[in-house]
Amino acid sequence: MSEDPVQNGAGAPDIPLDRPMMYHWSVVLENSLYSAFILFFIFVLPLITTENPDTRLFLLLPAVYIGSVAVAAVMLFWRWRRTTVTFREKDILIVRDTIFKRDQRIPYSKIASINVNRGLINRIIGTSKLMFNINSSVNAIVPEATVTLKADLADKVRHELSRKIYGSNLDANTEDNVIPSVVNISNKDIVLHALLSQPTAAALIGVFFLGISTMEAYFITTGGGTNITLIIALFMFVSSTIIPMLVQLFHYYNYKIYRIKDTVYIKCGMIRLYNTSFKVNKINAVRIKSPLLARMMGKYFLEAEVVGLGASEGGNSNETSPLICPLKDRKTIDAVMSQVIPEFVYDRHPVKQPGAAANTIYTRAAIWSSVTIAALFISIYEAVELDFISSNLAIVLYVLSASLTAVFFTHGAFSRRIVEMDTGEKHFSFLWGVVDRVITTVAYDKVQIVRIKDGPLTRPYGLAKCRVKLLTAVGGAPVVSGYFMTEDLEVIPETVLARIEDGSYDYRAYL
Amino acid sequence: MASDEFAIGKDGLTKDGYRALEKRARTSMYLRNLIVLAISLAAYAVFTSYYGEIGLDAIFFWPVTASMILLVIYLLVAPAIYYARYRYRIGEDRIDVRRGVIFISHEIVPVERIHQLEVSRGPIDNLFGLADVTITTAGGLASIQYLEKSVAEDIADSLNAYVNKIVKERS
Repeated sequence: MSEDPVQNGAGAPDIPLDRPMMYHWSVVLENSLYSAFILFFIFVLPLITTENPDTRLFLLLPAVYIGSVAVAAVMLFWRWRRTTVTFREKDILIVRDTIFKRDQRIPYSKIASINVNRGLINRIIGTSKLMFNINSSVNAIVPEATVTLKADLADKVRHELSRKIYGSNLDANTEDNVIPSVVNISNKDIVLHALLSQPTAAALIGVFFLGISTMEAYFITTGGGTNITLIIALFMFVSSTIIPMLVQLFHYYNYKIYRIKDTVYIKCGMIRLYNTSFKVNKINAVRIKSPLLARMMGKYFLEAEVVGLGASEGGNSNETSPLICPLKDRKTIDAVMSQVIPEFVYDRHPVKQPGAAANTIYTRAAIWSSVTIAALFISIYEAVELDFISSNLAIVLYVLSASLTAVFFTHGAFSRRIVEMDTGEKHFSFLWGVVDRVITTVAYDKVQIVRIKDGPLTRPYGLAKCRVKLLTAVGGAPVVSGYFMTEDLEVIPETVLARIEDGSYDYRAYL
Repeated sequence: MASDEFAIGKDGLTKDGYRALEKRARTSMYLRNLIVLAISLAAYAVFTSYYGEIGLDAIFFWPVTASMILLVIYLLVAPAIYYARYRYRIGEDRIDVRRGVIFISHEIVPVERIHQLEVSRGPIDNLFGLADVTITTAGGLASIQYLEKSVAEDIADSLNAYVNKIVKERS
């Protein structure tokens, strides 16, 4: 790969090394606008929403608001003037000489990812935000440093730092125009991904509120119904379904992914542009997800959980785990995995939950259905007593509540058949979920703590559940297994320890 | 109460080499639970005195009372079971802790993954000469509770020495 002319391309980096630079002035504008927005809610909104406010407040509060925004802008300007960033031979030095002094050094060797984020203001003014993340458990969500520079300078800096950190010699033009994406993703695919990648529960909630708003709209036209119910139902529908879909659409539009040496690059975005890059050795786990509707169409998507990928800056918090491949058929997903993250491909021989797990699963289903039905029956009874609902409606609700038993047991039956685990040489994986399914593949070398837990419903059958904590990452959560024999689950910590003992685990591979 | 898995031999270890807590750890657990019990009973007394006045229907009385009875039983019974089932082992390569009352968890932390150790003592621990060891890894925290103070410090010292050795080797 090192002989690839693209990677060894010319174009000597042209950034001022060892010279303190100020951030671009647009950072003052952007932060001032943000302050103005926050202060608006504090000073102006209460005035607007108060009925018959004192007229003096109409003069006083806007004046206080404008004054506060001006003070914030002056402070931000002062902070901008007294903050510098220096790209040095071995680290980045950020110095802030204000009331809160800061002298931050980020060694290149510790940087896990460099991301470029261009919001609307950045694109209008022609700037980019460079976000540096290190492999830190404390600061997994927020980038260690965010530096705003002119777009061409930011590209040069990223180019130079990528060369230092990843050994890549790509400039922005090569990235955009020369290197092809590993997988051909059209914007039609992204639209489909936005529509079908939502969890089924969220989609059902959306359908429920859409139904309520449609009914309410109909009642309003026939003389009944209320505007407030319609507005609330529409708001819930939009916030639970439409907004997450639009967020996905805007975020992953023009999606492109490629790998050079040990670094994965992802470029996407419709309004805000995202350039994400991270080393493959920073990936804790990969997940193949398939929500129900997508799976019915034979579609899956692939995500990675990456250490040191701070993502909350610039409204990027929706991307808790970088998307390696949007919804595609399983063959394409497997092909992308083989090309982008072959380190996580292994010959799986999964085992289903043992027969004894059925006892646990059905006993749990019986307990949960009893508790749920008891709570619902009491609520319905009380609602009838208080005349909130009619007796006829109560009968329907009683029957619906009782039918939940079937739902619990059906869920249990599917779960017994679907959930599986697999222990390989370097990785293990759990398949989890009945409606929306996830296959999580984890590298043993990333495991930090393993907890194997049994209870009164599992202990008699020698079963347990396993919870594995990995290196802290944005969007990372403990990986949890189904019900398996305790000795099968104990293979996981034993393999982790054996790999440390026999030297298969080499910490240097993950630096 | 404890099965073979938790039975302690003459050498003070289980057949798998796990250690048990000192008996005063159990007394400490009882004292903690008695404090929680006193606070819970006070809250329950306030509830029974005023639930009618603050407009709560009688339907709330029985679920709250049943929950209170279960809580009282748990707080009184749990320390004995927790103590009987609490086992820990500091191996060369791992820290193993087994504990639980209804659910029993077996927590395994590879020593290689430890970043930091902390010995902490609250007022009740001080009363009984106990301490907790909190183990920080890059993926979260684990702890060994109710240890004798000197044992906790010895564990922390030996693990700290190991962590420092690793850091030195790698720097």
